[in-house]
Amino acid sequence: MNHPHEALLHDFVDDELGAPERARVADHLAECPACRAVVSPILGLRREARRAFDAPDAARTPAPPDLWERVEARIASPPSPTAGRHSARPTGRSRGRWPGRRPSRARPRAAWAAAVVLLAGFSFSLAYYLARPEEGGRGASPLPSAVAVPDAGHGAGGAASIVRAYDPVLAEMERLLEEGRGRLLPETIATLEESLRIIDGAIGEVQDALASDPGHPGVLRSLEGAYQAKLRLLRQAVVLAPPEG
Amino acid sequence: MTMITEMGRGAGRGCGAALGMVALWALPLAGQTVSIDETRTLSPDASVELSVVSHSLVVEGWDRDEVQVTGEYDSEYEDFEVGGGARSFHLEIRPKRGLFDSGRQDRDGSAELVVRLPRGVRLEAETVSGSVTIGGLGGVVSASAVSGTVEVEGDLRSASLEAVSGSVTYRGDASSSVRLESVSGRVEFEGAAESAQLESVSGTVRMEGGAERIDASSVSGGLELGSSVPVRSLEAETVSGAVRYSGPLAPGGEIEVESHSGSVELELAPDTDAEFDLSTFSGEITAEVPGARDEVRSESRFTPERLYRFVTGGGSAEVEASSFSGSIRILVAER
Repeated sequence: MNHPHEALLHDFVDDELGAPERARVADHLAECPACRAVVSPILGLRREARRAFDAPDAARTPAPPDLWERVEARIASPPSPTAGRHSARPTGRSRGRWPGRRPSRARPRAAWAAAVVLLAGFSFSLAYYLARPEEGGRGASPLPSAVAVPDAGHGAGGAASIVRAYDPVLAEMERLLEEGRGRLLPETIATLEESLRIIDGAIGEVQDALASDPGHPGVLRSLEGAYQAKLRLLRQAVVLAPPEG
Repeated sequence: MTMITEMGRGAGRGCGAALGMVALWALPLAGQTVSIDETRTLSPDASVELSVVSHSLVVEGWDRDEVQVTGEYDSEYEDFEVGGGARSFHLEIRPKRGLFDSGRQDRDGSAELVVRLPRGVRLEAETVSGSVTIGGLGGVVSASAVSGTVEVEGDLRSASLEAVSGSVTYRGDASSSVRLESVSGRVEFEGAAESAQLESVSGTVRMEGGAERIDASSVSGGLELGSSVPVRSLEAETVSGAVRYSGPLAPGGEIEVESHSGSVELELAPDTDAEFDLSTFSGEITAEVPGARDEVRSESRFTPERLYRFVTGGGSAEVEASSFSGSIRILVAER
C-alpha cells in the first residue's frame, strides 16, 4: 500500500489539494489506519481550536466550513470502490503515486501548535506576552510566568489539548503495532523500543517543564514536536508491520 | 512493485497482473539449482520491476536496448517468474507457499542476481534479506531492502531508496528529488539534487553535496548535512540526535531546525543575509557571527530559557533554530 507523505496529509487537512489528489488521499485514508492516525490529531486540534472560537472567527480558517465533517465522514465510511485499486496491487511506501510536494512537517506542525495557542484566546496570548523573558525594545515587564499563565487559565488547556488530540491516536497506533509486532525482526523491535523510550523521555521532560510553566508556547511546541515524532515513528512501524487482515 | 513487510510475508502477492503474459521458468527439479541466463529486447524507457526475497540484486545500466538476467535460484524452495514486453519487464523470485512457515533458514541474501538494463528505464527493485546495488542507470529509481543495504550510484532523474535495518546510500546527481529512508541503518547522500528528503530513526543521516531543498529527520540519529548549493529550504528535526548543517543559505531562503536534546550547529557562508531566531528552553546558545546587528538577547528570570535574535546583511532569509535542552551554535564566517 502506498502512503502519502505526511506533508500531503497536512495539505489534505488544509484543503490545499486539487480535486483528484484530494480524492486519492481520501480513498487512502478510508483504508489506512496508519495515515488516519496522522490526520486524526490534526483534526482533534482543529476541533479544539474551533471550540475556542466563535463561528465568525472560525470562518477565518482557509478550509470550507464542512471540510472536517466531510473528512471525518469519509474516514468513518467503508472503502470506496475506487479504493480497491490501491490495495489490489500494493506497491510499497510513498512511491510515485503521491506527487512530490515540498515536505514541510515542521511548518504545519508549528502552524497547528500556533493555532492552538492563538485560538485559545487573547487572555492566554497576553499572559504569554507578559510572561516572556525580557526583550530589549519590547517594553514588556516580565511577570512570573508560573503565576501569570495559570491565572490566564488557557495555558494548561494548550498542553491538555495536545495530549487529548494525540493520546487516543497513539494508543490506537500502539494497538495496531502490537498486532503486527510478530512481523518485525528483533533488531527492529529493539530500535523501535529504544526510540520510543527516547521520545517518551522527551515528553516527560517537557511535561516537567510545563508543570512549572503550563502555557509556555515554546515548551508546548516541544511537547507537540515530541508527540509528532512518536506518531511518525509508530506510523512507520505500522507500515512495516501491518496488522493481520 | 510488491509489498514486502519486514518478514517477507506477502512478498510476491499481486505481481504480474498487469504485465501481460507471464512465463514460468521454474523447472520442477526438487532441490536443484537452476541457472538463469536470459536476454530480451527492452525499450530504453521501459518500466522494470524486480522483486526478490532472499537474493541480492545487482543492477547495471548498459547501452543496449536489452535486459539481461543472470543468476540462479533453488527450484525446490523458490518460484521464478518473468514477464512483460518491449516496454515493461517484470521479474520475481518468491518462496513457495508456506516456505517461511516451515522454518527454512537460508534466507541470507547470499544468492545474487545480476540484471543489466537500458540506462533510461524506470526501475523498481526490492529484496528482503538481500542487498540492492544499482549503477549506471539514468531514469527514475526506487529500491528497497529490509535487512540488506541499498546502494545506488549514478546520475538519475530521481531516487527513492529505503531499508529497515540496512544502510541506504546514493552517490550521484538527481535532476529532481532524492528520498532516502532507513529505520536503524545509516542514510547517506553524496551528490546534488533539487530536493533531498533524508530520514532515519536511529541511524546517522549524512549529506554531502548540494540541494536547494533539504528535509531531514531522525529520532536519535545525528543529522550531518552539508550543501555546496545555496539552500532555499532546510528543515531538520530530531529528538536526541545532533544536527549540523554547513553551507550557504540562498537569499530569501529558510532554515528551520528543531531538536529536543540534541545539539544544533549551523555553519553558514560569509555572505549570509538573514534574520536569526534562536531559542532554547534549557540549553545554551552561542553565536560567532561577525557583523551581527539588531541583536536581542533575553533570558528568563524564572526558567533557564534563552532567546537570541539578530540580523546579518540585508536579512532577507530566515534562520530559526529551537531546542528544548540541546545547545545551539551558529557560526558565520567572516566576510
